[in-house]
Amino acid sequence: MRHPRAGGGPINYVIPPKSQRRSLAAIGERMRHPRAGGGPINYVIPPKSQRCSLAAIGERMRLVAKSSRAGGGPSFLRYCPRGASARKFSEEYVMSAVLNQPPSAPVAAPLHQPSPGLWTLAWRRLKRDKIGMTALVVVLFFLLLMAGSYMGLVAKNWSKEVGVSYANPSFMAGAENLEAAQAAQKDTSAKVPFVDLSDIDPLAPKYEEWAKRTAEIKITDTPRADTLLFGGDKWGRDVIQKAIKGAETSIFVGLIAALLATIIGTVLGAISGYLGGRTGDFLEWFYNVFTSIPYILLILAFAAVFKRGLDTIIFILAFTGWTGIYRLVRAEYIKHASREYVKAAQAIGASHTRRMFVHILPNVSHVCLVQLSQHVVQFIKAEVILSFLGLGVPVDSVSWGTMLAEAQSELVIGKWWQLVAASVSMALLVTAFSMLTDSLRDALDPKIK
Amino acid sequence: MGAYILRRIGQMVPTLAGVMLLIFVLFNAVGGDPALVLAGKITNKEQIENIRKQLGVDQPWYVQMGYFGFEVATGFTCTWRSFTEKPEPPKSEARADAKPEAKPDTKAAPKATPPSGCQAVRSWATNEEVPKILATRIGPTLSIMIPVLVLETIIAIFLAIGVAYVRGTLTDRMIMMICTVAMSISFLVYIIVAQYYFGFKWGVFPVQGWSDNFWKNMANYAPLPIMLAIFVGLAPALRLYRSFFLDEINSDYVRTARAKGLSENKVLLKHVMRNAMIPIITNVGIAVPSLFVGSFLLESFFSIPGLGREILVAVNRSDFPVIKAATVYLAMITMIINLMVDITYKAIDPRVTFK
Amino acid sequence: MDNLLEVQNLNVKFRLDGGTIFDAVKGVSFDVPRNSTVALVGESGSGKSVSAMSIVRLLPAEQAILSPDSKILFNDQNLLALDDAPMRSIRGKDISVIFQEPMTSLNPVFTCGDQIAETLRLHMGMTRRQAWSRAEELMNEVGIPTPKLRMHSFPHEMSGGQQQRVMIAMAIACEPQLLIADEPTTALDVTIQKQILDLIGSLQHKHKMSVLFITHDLAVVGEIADRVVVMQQGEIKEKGTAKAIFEAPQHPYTKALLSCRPNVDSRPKRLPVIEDFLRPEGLRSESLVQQTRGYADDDEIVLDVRNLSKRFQLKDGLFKKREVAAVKGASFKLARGKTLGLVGESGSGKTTVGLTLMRLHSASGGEVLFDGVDLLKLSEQEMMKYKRRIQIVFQNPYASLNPRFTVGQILLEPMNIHKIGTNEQERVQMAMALLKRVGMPEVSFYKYPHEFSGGQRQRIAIARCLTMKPDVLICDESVSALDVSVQAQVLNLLQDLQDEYKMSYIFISHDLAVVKYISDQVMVMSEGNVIEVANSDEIYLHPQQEYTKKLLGSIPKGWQEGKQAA
Repeated sequence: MRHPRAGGGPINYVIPPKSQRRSLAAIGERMRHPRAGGGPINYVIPPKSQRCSLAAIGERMRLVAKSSRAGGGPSFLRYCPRGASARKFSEEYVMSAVLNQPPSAPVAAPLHQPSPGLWTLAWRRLKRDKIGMTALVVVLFFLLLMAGSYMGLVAKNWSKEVGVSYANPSFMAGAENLEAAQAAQKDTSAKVPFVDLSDIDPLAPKYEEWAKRTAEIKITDTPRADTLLFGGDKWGRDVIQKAIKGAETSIFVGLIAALLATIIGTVLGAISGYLGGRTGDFLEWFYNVFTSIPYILLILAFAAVFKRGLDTIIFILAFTGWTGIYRLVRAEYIKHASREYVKAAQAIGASHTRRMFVHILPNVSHVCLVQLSQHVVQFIKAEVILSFLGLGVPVDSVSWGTMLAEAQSELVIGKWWQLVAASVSMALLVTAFSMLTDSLRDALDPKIK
Repeated sequence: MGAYILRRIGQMVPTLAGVMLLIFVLFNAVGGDPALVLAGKITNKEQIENIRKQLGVDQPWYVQMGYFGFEVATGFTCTWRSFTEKPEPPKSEARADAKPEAKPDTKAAPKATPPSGCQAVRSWATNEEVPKILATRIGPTLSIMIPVLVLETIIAIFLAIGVAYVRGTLTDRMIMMICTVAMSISFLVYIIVAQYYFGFKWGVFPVQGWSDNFWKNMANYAPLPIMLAIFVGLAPALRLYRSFFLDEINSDYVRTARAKGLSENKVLLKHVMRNAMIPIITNVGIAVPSLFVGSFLLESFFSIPGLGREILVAVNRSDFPVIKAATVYLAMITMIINLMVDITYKAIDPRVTFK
Repeated sequence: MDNLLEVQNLNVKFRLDGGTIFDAVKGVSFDVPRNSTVALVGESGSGKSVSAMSIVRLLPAEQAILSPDSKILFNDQNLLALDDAPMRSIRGKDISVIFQEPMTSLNPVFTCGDQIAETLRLHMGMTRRQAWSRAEELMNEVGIPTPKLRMHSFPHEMSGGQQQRVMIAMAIACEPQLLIADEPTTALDVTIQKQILDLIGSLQHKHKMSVLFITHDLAVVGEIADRVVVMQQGEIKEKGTAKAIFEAPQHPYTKALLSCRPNVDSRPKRLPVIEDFLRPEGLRSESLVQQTRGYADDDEIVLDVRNLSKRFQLKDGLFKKREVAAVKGASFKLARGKTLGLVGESGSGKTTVGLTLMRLHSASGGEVLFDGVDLLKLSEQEMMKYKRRIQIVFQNPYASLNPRFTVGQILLEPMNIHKIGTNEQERVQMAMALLKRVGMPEVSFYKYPHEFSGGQRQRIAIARCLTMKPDVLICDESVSALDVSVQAQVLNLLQDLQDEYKMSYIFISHDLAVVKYISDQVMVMSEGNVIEVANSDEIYLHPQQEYTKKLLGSIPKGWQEGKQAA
């Protein structure tokens, strides 16, 4: 039993007098509680129907701000101790104050127009976040690249040996390429010594026939390029095409594995958190088993028994990586199951399934989404390392991990481009994805209610 | 407190049973016929049958599980077969002290019969006793990982305080941005590049290697991997610890401390610090079990004969006994460390009560 | 005039997310004379706390902007012009603060003794040992039993009242000239509130300090304040001596505040709301007529609860399980169209009674006879048809509506579950009509809960219950989180609905005045026991039990003529 003012957790909710109720909704939306982790505070655009009133308020605020600025300037900042709890205040005072701002103009809301839900609002918040949007664009670019490469629109010929061995990047065309020269030498020298063994060779009569047949098969021996846009690998394959193809593999693995892990974690977490009891105990035991083995060891143990392949690595990552999501979703379900809106649903007679999936799930789905995004990053990194170690993708496909594995020995002979291509493209994607995750977490913060 | 520890230990039993079950299913059911894995290219049916018999995999699954349970119970120092059967005179010349790098000697492995009495579980690849392998590998791993954990935690805490002090400023945002980017680059890249420059090109440190002398190791071979691990671990730790500090800075008691007239430094270093240490220590506690696995990447790159590298080698050779034993041991260590961490909470957080 | 503190033309703006600037305090001026108590009264968002925090400069620098012509003179020294270091030496020494939530305001990892001694060592230059023994004296002074032991206690080991005492000990440690008390009793039970108020009052006299008391509760103000400042939306509506404010309020807002909160002595048919004071024709006639309440002999009994008990099981030790009895054998009857009030302090089990009888908790024993059927014996399926007949409105309007549902979905869901209405269209029409009935525009149907204020959300929650046409409505602290003016509106709505639909209410609240106002019969609970059940006038005028007397004695009496003259 709680006291009225103490009730409802850390946020002190405030209720304005009746006369201001109309505008409240509009202004209330702009307020959001910053997430626990810190970070910039964003604000929300009010729904269209209320913009007029907000604009009016904003206008008035600007006027006041102008008049006060004339006298003071930024110096009055020092009246407050630096870093006094900003968030606390935005919750306790500013919010209450803002909520009570009287409307400047009556709100004329159009009838029968559904107002934006929390997802729409979150999307609007995200749109205002420049870093988040930039990150989103980069991520989408990589996703397009992956789709394009999957459908064979780009990097289709990544495995073609189009350049000389270790072809230089075109911007350093003049540089020496000892390896290519050596290889070329070998090629020619291999043809020269030819000992006629036809006397003793039982297959000798067939040589001519074979030679004839060989001649019939046309070989399009395209001349190998000396330089490629960003250099070539040992076999003369284009590094950029490889990086694109590698992106396809890595993103595909990361996305699907994260999706699976999120599904496993969410379903188990929901069941465990909502039902509790014996089912919950059993799932907790299952979770404890997985987490009492150090994560790396768990992955390696799985990798030891399964044959390598794309599907295997996805399975391994998903089946070992669901535990964190389970923990979070379970905690959310426990929290929400005791919330008043779920109790109210129980009171009106909603079934367990309905409460679990219709009422609670939409309210924790933001957690799942953020986790999904975070795990994509984590799994991409893990895939790269596993492939590097030869425990990941099959030999005939390319991933950033296998590129790095090749790059390790290439670096010693001064061929740095494959290393740079793989690490830069990976860093770019992962940075963008991490920043998108942060922005998503901010934008989806549910505290605005 | 005594009751609490007893109860926690009681809870470990089903968890450990679960770990054993998971490992058994993984290696005995999913992992395919161990005999085939072991026999490799041998196609002689008789030989395979012989190996199967030696390993006990011709038995029904529940008997095999019993064997495994017995091995776990004795800490892999005794196999059921050696426990029950009379010792025979050795037929094979395979020696237990074969070099770890030796090629899997598939024929020798199963035939190696114990000289007398209880025989420890042996590696399929090298025929070494598994407990011995793991015991000798733990030293190098810890001598890398303990300095890493200690230094990383201390440095991250100090940096986090600094960043928390300038929170909200451009410096703060820049540092966080750098952290995000730094975290996005694969550990592999850091190692490859650092090894190339510091070891190969500039010769500041040896490219790789390890000796028998602890001090020589710490002076010569360990610094580069340690610094690399700290460097890579710093960004995520800093981000996390900063968020712990910021969470606390927004608490009511901080406002009270300010209302008392305390200076901002005092507020941060006394009131906030003490509270932020609770989640930080939780976090370090979570990291402790992975100390024992070590960084298998660092160990393989720098040829450090540690546990991580050993496990990796075992995975590549399908040397199941080593992986199984390492997993079970580490699961036990993890559980014990978790219990110890929970008990130390009491010292840090007065609100914790043992129930 | 000898003023300790003069606040002159205080303007505080907040820089909100993005670039919006918001005026929190607009040109506020007031004085705090020496050796007196000034109350700063207002509803949430009135700017009262912001004003108080500006005095000690504890507003967030990132957001708060103080206008340069604002002045806060403390002993004729402008605090706003001080550098940080001298300001810090005033903070905690000459001006100290107590906050609303003692639990979170004390640092959880330091002992109470440490925290009190810290202030002493900082400002009084005491050694560790001196500070410790002085802190012990202070603990004694604020009435903490066994101070020697309690010095070593951590905050979580103490009750809320004791925590607030520690906060007070900390605040008076350096003999401050001004004590700012920011809603110090709001989070506390009514009996504890009284003790804390008495303590602050006696310390004020003893140490000859001034107190700036911030509160939303006028009844509390009447008890302690010499002067009153009434604020609304960042502006001062009225200020003056307590006598003037309470006996001859000038501003309609002050008048409304004074009369919209139910008090123990009168029960108008309809609570006046702020709008009533702004109307030229004055108060509605219903606000002037008194209402009589109480059960009559011929009342039809809807709900007969017999010996209801609820025990919670807690794990304790290795295998032991500890049982905590939340409700111990509660029996009462609820008459049709009447209201049963359930009062008690935190932990008294009053909410558990409500949740258990509608089977949101499983009961441990007893009977709940509803139309002669024992609800507790019904199977889950049989219960379904009774579920719609007992409904509940929860305390926290921000948590009781699913944020991902539109108001329409919220209202239609119960109708769909219970197959009320023949088709969707009819249901929508019913929902619209109900929205209108509870005073919400029809367009709300398409909106999400986050677009509404607390009072509006409570109306929606009430409408959700009404869709099922319940016989019994449980109001679990339903108006407790609302500001007094909104509270009055919701109470009026509840009364109207009861008259219209002949619903019976179980009204659960810790607020004795509200319960007295709305209830026909009152049941007092303490620690799971029913202390007393009687008609509401009866129980307030002639309490039979000691506990009831103590509880009623703790209700802030508000302004009483002649008291302040002494």
